[in-house]
Amino acid sequence: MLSLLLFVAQSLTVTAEKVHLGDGRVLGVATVRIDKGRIVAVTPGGDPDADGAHLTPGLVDAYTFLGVGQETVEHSREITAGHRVADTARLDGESFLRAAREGVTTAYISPDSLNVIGGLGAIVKTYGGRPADLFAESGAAARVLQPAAGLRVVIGVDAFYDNYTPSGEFTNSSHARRPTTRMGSVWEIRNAFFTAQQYRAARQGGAKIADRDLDALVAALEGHVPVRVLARKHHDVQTALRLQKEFGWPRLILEEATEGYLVKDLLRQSGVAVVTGPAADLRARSVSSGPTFEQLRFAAELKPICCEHLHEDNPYFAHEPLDENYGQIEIPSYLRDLFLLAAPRYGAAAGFQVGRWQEADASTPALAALLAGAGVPLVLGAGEAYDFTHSEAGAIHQARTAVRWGLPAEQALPLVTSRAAELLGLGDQVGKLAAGYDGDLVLWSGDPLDPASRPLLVAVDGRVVLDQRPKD
Amino acid sequence: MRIPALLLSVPALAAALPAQDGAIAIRAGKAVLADGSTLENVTLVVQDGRIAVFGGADVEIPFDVLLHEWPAATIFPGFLEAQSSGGLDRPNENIPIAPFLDVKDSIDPVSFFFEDALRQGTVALGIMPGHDTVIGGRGRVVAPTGMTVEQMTLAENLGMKMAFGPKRGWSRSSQLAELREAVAGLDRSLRDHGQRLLDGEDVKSEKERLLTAEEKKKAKDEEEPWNRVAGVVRYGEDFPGKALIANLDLDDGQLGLLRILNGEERLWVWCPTATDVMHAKQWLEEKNLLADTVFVVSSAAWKAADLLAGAGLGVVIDGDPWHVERDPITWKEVRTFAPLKFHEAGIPFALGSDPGRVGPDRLGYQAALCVREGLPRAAALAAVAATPAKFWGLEARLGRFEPGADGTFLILDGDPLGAETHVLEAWIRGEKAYDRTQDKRLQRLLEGRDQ
Repeated sequence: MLSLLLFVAQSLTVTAEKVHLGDGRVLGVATVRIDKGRIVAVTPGGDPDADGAHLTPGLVDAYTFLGVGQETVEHSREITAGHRVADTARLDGESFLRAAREGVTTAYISPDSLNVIGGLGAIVKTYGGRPADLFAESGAAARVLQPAAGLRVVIGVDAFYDNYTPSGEFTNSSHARRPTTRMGSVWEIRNAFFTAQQYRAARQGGAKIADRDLDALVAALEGHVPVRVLARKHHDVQTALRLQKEFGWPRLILEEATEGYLVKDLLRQSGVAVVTGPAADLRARSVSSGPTFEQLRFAAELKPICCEHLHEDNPYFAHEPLDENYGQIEIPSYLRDLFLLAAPRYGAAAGFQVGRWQEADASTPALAALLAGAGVPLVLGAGEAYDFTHSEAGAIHQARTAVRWGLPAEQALPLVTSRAAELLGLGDQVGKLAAGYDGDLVLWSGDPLDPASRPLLVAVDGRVVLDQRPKD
Repeated sequence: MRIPALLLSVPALAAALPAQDGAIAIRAGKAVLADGSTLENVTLVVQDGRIAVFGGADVEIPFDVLLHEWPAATIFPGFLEAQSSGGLDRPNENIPIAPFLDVKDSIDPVSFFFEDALRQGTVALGIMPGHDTVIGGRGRVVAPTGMTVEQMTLAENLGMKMAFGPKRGWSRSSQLAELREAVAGLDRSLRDHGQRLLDGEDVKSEKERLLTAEEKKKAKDEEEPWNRVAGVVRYGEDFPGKALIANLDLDDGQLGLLRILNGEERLWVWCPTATDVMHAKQWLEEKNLLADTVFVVSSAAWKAADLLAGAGLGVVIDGDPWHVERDPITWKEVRTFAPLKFHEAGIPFALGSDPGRVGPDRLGYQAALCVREGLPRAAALAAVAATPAKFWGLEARLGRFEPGADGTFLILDGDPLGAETHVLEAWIRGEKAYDRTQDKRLQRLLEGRDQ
C-alpha cells in the first residue's frame, strides 16, 4: 500500500541521443516516458536532455555486499542456511546511495563468505525505501524486492581460513571448529543437503518436524531459490558442478569463478551461469579500491627508527646476523594475520578479501572475455565495490574493464543490465528500456563504456536519485 | 674466459643504446599532442634518438630510413609520471635526515613496476625516495626500459625529497623539530668551523688528510670532488670565516643539506594535509626556497589550494584524487575531487599512478577520470604529460613532437584517454621498448593460459 502511494507521482520523461535498450539493441534519438514508476513508452525522436548523452536501463548488479557490513554471518555454526541477509542489511546505509549514484538501481546482496552455507541473499532496489533517519530525504533507502533470492554456498578458503582444530586452552572460540580444509567444507555441504533430503522425505511422510535451515535447503533443492556457489579455483568450479549432479540442484549460479576460464568447456557444457566478482588487474589484485595487501603487510611490519646503533652499542645485538630483516620488530604471524584480516574490513564491509587474494594466483582481467568467447552464460558483478567511500570498481567499471580486456563492446552492457536481470529471475521487470518495465534508467554524459562518462540522471522506479543534467 | 669478455661489453652497449645510428620514420593516421589537440596523417622522423622532423604526409623520407606505416593508429608523446617510489626495493632509509642518498642505488631495472608502466604507456618516471622521511635523498628521471640504471636515466638529478607530513609513528611536531635541529646543527658546525679556519687551525677533514700528493695533483687537474673549493656556503647571513669553508670540510650529509639551503636542489615536498602545506610553505619562504619547490600532496591538501596558488612550481597529487570526509554533525560523506580544486585555483598539477589510488593504475585512466569530473581535456592531459615534464625541467625533451626532442612516443590503437585504447608499441629515444605482440605476460592473461 505504501509503495503504491509512493509511486503515484513518479513521472519522468528523458530523451537522449543514443538509447541502449539493455538487450544489446541501440536506438538513435529516442524518448523514454515513465509514469507511476513504470516505463510506459519508448518512442523515437525528441529533444535530447544533454548533448552527446546516452541512456541505458538502470544497472543491475547481480553480486554485491551492499549494506551488509561486518559480521554478517553467524559464527557459531558453519551452516546457517535459513539466515536472511535482508534481516541484517542496513537498508538506509550509504553504500546503497553510492551504488545508486553510480547507476546501479537493482542489486543482489549476498551474505558474507565466512560460513560454508551462509544464508539467503536478497534482491533490492537501491532507492525508494523508507530511511530510518527521520531527517533523511524521502526514498533514500533500499527497498527489498525478494528477501530469499539465493542460497550462498562457499567452496574454498574463505569458509575455513579462520578455523582451527580445538586443542588445549584454545577451545573457547567459535573458530575452534570444522571445517579446516576444502574436504571439510564440501563434507559440510553434502551433509547439509543429505539431511535436507531426509527432512523433506520425512515431511512428505507426514512427520511433524520443522527446521528453518532445512526449509531453506529444501527450497534450494526444489529450485525455488537458486544455489549460488562461491568457487574461485578451477577445481572448486568442478566440485560445484559435481555437487549439482549429486543433489540435482535445479538452479545453480557460480560466483566469481576466478579460474573458470581454465574449465570453460566444462562450464559451457553444464550451461551453468557465472557471475564474476570484481575483475582482477595485471597483478592478480582485485580492481576494487582499498589498501592493497602489500601496503597492509608493510604497515604491519613495524620498524624501529634506527637499528645500526643497536648493533654498535648493545652487546646483545652484536652477534646478530645483519640480514635484510635485521632490526625489524617481529610481529607474531597470527597477530599479523589478524591485522590483515581486520584491516580491509575496517570501515568497509563485506567480501572476504583474504580469500580473494589467496585464490587469485591464476586470475586474469580477461576472464569475462574468455568465458563469453567460450559461450559460457555470464554476468558481471562488482562485489564490495560500493562498500568503500568511493571506488572505480562499480558495475559500469566492471563492464569497462571487461571491454578493455577483450569483451566485444556491444556485449558488455547487457551483462550489467538485461542478462543480470534474467540471472536474478527479474528478466521481465528490470534491465531493459521497454514499456511495462520498472522506471529505472541512467542518463550518461557520453558512451557509458567510456571512463570519462558519468551519470547525469539516475532514476529508480521513476524517482530521481541524482540529477546533474545541464541547466538550460 | 668468455664471461669477463661479455661483462666488459656491457658498458659499451650501455653507451651505444641511447644514440643509435639507425633512423626511423613513422607515418600514422593521427597524432594526439600533449595539449590534447589532434592532427591527421602525420610523419615523425627520429634520428640518433631524437626527433628530426615532425610534419604531415608530405614529409619526404630519405631512402635509408626505416619506415613504419600505421595508417589506423594514433601516435602520442607518452604519459609521464611526475613522482613515484615505484621500482625501489625500499623507498626510505630508517634515519630521518638522509640527503646523501640517491635512488640510483635502489632502482631495480627489472622490477615488474617498470615493465607494467611501459605496458600502460608511461615513458618516463620521476623516481623519488618515499614519504617516510624528513629529508629523503635525491631522485632521478628514468625511462622504464634498460637493464641498468644508467641506461634508464633521462636526468640524473631531479632534486631532493623532503617530508613535512610526519614519518610513520612520529608526531608533526617531532617532524618539524627534526628538520629545525638538522639545520641548526649545520649552522652551528659551520660557524664553529669558520672560526677555526679564521684562527688558522689545521682543521682538514680526515678524508683530505689521507690524500697522497699524487691524488691531490690528479684531483686538481681533473677537477674531481677531492679538489678543495672554498666558498660553498652561500645561504643565510654572514659569519666569521664563512667564505673560507670548503666542500672538503663537510661530510656528505652536511653537503646535501647545504645544497638544499643554498637553493641548489629542486625540492619535492611531501605535504599530506593542508596543515603540512602551511608549515612547509612557511619554512620554505623563511629559507627563500619556495620558487624551486614542487608540493607532493594527498587529496586532503585541496583545502590549502589558496596557499598553494602561485607557490613554487605546482603540485603532484599522490594517490587517490578523491578526498572523502564526514561532516561531523550530519555524519554524511562529503566528497571533493582534488584535481578540480587545484585546476580552479590555477595551480599546475600532475597525477600519480601509485597502487592504492582509485581505479586502474594507468595514467590515461586517471586523466579520463579528471575529464569525467569536469576538467577540460587539455588540463587532464597536461597532468600526465606536459606538467611533469615542466616539473622535471625536461619540457624541451619530453611530451612534445618537435625537432630536437627525445624520440619518445607511443603508438596507440585509439585516443590516449580511451578505455579500450592499448599501447601497441612504445619507443623510447628512438628504440622500440615495447611491442604488444611480443608481450608474453599479456598474452597469457588474454588467452587464459595457466601459468
